[in-house]
Amino acid sequence: MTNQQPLLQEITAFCRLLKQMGVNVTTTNQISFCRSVELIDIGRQQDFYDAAKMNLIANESDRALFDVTFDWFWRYPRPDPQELGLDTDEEEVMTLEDLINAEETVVNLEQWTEMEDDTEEGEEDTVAYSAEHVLTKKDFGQFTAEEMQKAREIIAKLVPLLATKLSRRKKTSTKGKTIDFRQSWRKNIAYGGEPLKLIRKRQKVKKNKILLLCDVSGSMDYYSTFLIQFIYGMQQALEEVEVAVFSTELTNITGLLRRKGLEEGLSEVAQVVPDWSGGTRIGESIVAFNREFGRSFSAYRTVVILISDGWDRGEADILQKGMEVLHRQAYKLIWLNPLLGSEGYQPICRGIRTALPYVDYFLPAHNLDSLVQLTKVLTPIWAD
Amino acid sequence: MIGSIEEVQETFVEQNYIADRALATTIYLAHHLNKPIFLEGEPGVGKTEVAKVLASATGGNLIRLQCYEGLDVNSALYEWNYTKQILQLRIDELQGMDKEQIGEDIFSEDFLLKRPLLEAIQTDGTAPPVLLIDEVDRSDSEFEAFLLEILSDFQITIPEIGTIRAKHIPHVVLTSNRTREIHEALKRRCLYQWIDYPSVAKEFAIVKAKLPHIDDMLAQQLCNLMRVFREGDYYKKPGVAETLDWGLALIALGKDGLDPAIVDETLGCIFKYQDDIQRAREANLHKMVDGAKSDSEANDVEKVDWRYMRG
Repeated sequence: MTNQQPLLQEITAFCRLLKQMGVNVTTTNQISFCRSVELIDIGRQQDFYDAAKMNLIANESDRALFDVTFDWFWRYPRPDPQELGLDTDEEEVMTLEDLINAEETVVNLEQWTEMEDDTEEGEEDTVAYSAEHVLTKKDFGQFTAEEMQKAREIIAKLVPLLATKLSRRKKTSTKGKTIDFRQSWRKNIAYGGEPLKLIRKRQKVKKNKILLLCDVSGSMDYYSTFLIQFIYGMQQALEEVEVAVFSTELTNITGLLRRKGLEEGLSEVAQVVPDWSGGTRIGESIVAFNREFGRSFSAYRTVVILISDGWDRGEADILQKGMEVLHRQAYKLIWLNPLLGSEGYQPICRGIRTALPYVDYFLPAHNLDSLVQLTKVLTPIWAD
Repeated sequence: MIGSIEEVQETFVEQNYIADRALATTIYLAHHLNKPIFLEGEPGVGKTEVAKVLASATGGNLIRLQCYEGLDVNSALYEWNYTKQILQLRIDELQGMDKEQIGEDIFSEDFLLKRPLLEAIQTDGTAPPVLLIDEVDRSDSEFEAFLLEILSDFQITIPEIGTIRAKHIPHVVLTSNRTREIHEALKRRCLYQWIDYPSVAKEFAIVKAKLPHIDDMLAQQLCNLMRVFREGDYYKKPGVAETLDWGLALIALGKDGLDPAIVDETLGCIFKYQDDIQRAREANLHKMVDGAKSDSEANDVEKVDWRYMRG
């Protein structure tokens, strides 16, 4: 038993390391792994690896992270526990991340604004600036760091209100088709067991799902951040939400947000997503989006919300093809465009012109007011 | 049958299922730790088959719960047989039974309709049953929460009867096609295994196991071409199920080798979307078929009997 002690310690250390890397390992998983180790021949590295993997990760998407961590921990000469940051303070954890080449650029909301200030000046299509400095009317792009914080607080307050509105509409509007025998039987005891009254089950036809597809290229990233926060906050009413972001490549961040929570998740997104705040290739991203989420379209009534300004560097016919497929599969397709908020804006840029015929709703998304408007559009879609 | 990882692998081969070592390890550990197995992967890679083979290898009953949108506790667990209950009351009345006695026994097991989960828990027999909860991603999150409860203590409480505990802890296999993300809490209760498309060598072994009459050369070409198709950009990539379908079709047509014309005619076995079929046609079938053929000549080494590939 005593000679197993070091292995047990190492397993514990390894699990802790995984947790620090962002994999949600539970104590039960860890215990189960320890029990597995007793059952296998740990001399066989492959079996040990398999046992660790099947016990400690629950998503194929975590595998790359797991592999790197596993290799680093088990396959090379034993690391100094001090270096692992196990008895631990934050800085030492960072040295570990360095080792695995994690980028250290933590981009926060304020930095996004600053970056925006640099890039926006060159473009003609500047966004309208409302005369009154009312926060709900003010464009996100114009927010100072302080106002940004305030806006997020407003969203946090707004969301539960709008969410209950959505879910209430749903409850009263559905009528059941199948008989609920259990309830009917109960109710009819009063009539001596004669089935006089039939209680019906409310049956959902298909579950609603929202897929958010967010442009996080240079011109768009903070608009997208607000939208993600907004929709994500409404999850309890929206049942299923998945989020993908793109600039030149598509990245599904649903799992990340779920694991890390909104706040931490969003600040980490910028590191995970390649080419954050870079250029835009909408067409390719939509095609990738169709591929990634395509299978779930049939199982859900899917509302796709796409937020982008339509500046596209990619090929127009790829965009058209992608939009066509998306339109066919989605229940409703909503395009949010922050530029719609600017006075005299005409959808003339090529990306928008190509995509517009396939869009059910074309709405602004540049301030808090427009987010409320989005809820108004969503409510009837939800209720039918 | 589950004494060691090698034994699992061997038994599965006997049942014509080619399991790689990682999967065999999962099954071995799941048995000894009494944990459910969670299999995730693309459609058609043989997830459901694992449960079927496990059942026939262990001699346990296979109990299948197919998940769907709106699946609720009444159709997953148990339901009272209301019609039978009402009839029983009528009979009791007609027989002039005492008022107090009427309906006394209508909430007993005789009037219970067992649904898969209850059945899995109640099954007698010498071997534990295999409970297959198929395509769990189609159910809703309420049902997931309910599953969590069942899978953690394997007991069910029916208010009118009492608590029923599992006689044998069943082998539980959950599968998901990932049409949505399953909540981590559920997955973390299980041993998680991702099943990928097989390598060419493995797929060849599968084809030979399932279609013993197929010509070796044809099987090799088939698997080579499948790999090419899976590397391509298709909406729905073909799984192993498609390979086997296609193999059967080619045998039925009396073919012992591929040519572009026959591939073109039978594309419907491989792709299930018109767009994909179109794309395959545009992607120069001639070249692909030639490639698959020359690969199969070069790679004779790949024809390894899977039985001897343990370790």
